[in-house]
Amino acid sequence: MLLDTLIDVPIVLPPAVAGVALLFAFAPRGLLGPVLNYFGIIVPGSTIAVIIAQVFVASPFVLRAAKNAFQSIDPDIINSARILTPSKLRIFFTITLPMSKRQILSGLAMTWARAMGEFGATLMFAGNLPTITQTMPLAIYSLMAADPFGAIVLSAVLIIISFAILILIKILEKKK
Amino acid sequence: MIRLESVSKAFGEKEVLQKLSFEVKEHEILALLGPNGCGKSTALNMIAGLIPPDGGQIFIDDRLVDGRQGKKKIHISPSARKLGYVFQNQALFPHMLVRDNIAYGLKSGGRSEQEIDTQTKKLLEFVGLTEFGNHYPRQISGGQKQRASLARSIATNPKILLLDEPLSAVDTRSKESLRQAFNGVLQHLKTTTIYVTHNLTEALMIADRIAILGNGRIEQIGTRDEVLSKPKSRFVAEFLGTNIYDGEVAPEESTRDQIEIAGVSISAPISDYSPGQALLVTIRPEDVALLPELDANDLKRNDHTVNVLEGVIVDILLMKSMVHITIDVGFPIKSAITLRSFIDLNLTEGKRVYVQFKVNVISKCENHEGIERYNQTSSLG
Repeated sequence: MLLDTLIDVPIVLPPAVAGVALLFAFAPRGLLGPVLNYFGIIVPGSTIAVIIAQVFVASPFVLRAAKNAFQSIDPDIINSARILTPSKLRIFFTITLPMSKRQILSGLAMTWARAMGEFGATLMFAGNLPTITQTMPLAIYSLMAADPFGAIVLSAVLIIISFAILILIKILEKKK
Repeated sequence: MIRLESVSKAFGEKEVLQKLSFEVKEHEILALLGPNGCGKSTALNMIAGLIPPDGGQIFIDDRLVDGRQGKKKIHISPSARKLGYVFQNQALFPHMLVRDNIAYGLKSGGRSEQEIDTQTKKLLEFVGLTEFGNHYPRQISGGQKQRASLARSIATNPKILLLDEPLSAVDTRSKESLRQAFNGVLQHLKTTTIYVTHNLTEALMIADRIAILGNGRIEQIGTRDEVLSKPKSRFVAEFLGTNIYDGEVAPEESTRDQIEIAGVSISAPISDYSPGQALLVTIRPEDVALLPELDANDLKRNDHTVNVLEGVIVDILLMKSMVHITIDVGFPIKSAITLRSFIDLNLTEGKRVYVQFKVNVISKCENHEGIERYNQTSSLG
C-alpha cells in the first residue's frame, strides 16, 4: 500500500519539485552526495543527472503498467503453474512476463515519451549545458530567443516522434 | 490416500469450512458435491496446497502436508504434492500452444526433449486432441480446452487428480461427450481422484463414493445407493430433491408399524425407533407410483408392504424427460413419472388420483431439529 503510493508520487509531483528533491539528495552536501563525492563522483550537472531525473519522473508509467499486467492474470493460471513446477523463477519468466509483455512494452513507450519531454526536473537537477545535459525540450527553450526557426524545427521533430509513439502504443493495445 | 482431519478455513469473518474431515482411498473417485458457495473449491485448493488451512491437518499418502507437527507448522508446496489439478475455467497458458501447455509439467522433471515430445504426442492422442497440438488455447472450443487441461494435469503421472467443476464452463451440447471422455480417462487411469461438482447427475455417473458438503462440513459420505436411498439429514435430502417430512413414530398401543406425517398414518418398518419418536422421513419421487384409479388388486395390496393414498394433484413440473407431479394426500408428495405416462394418463391440476409406494422405499433418520411445521421442500437437484 505504502510502496504502491510511493511508486505513483513522481506522476503527481511537479517536475520542479522533483528536481529540488533530487538536488537535495545528490548535491555534494546532500543526503547521498558526500558518499558519492568520496569516490569523486559529482552527479548534479552531469549527463548521469539527466538520466536520473528522467528515470525518476517517467519510470512510474512502466511500473504501473507492469503492476496492472501482473494483477490482470487469472490467479488460476499461476496456480496451474505452481502445481506443475517448483521454480518461482520459471513461472515468472515463462508465464507472468510473457503474458504481460504487451502491457509492459506499451508502458515502456509511455515512459520513453514522458522522459523525452521531461523539462522541469532536468533543468533543476542537471542544468542546461549544451552537449552535456541539454535535452531537446531544453534546447527548444534556449533556441526560442536566438533562433525561433530552429526551435520550430526541433518542436516538429518531437511532435513526429510523439505521434509515432502513440501509434505504437495503440498497435500494442489493439493486438491484445 | 488423502485424509483431512478437522480442517477449517475462514475468509475474513466468513467461516467457509469448519472441522472438515474425510478420507479418499487409493484408486477411488470421490465426488465432493454441494451447492455453490459451500466451500468445495476451497477444500480442493487446500488439498492442492494453493491456500493454507487455518486449522486441522491434511495428509497425502500418510504424510502430513498441512498442519502442525509438534511446534512446527508444516506446509508442503503445491508442486511437491505430486498432483494434477483441472480448473473450472481450464486456466491454460494462453500464450503457449496446446502442446506446450501439456508439456509444461514434463519440462521440470529432467526429461530429454525427445522424451517430452513423445509423451506429449501420446497425451494429445489420449484426450483426442491429436490435430490440435499446434493450436493456441483461444483457437479451440471450451470442451477441447478442458481436454487439454486434463492432459496437462495427468502428464506428470500424478498420484492424485483434483477436478474442480470441469464440465461447468462447457456448453450443454458438448457436455455429454466431454463427461464420457472424462469418465473414460478417470476409469482408465485409476488415479485417486476428487471430483468437485454441484451437479448430482455428474457425481452419480463419475464417482465411486459421494461426499455431500453443506454448512462447512460433510453432511453425508457414502456410495451412490447409500446417499440416494438413505439421506442422513434434511440438507442432504433437500439437495437430492426427495420428499422430506417431519414424522412421528406411532404410540405404543398401535398394532402396526406406523408413522404419522401431518396427521396421516402410513405403514413403515420402525423397529429401530421408539414409540412417539420424531423422525425425518424421506421418499424418493421415483419410488412413488401414480395411479389414475384403483382396481381390486391395488386395494388388496394396501397392507403392510405397500401404502396407497388418495389425493389431488396440486402441481405439475415438466422437466426434460421426467414430470414431477405433486399430490396433496394430507401432505404434499412428489411423484416422478415419465413424460410418456404423463401424456397417457392425461393428468391435470385438481384431478383426483392415487399414489402408491412400498414401505421399503421409506427412509428414516433421527430428526435432530425436532418436529417443525412442514415446509414444502425445494428441489436443488
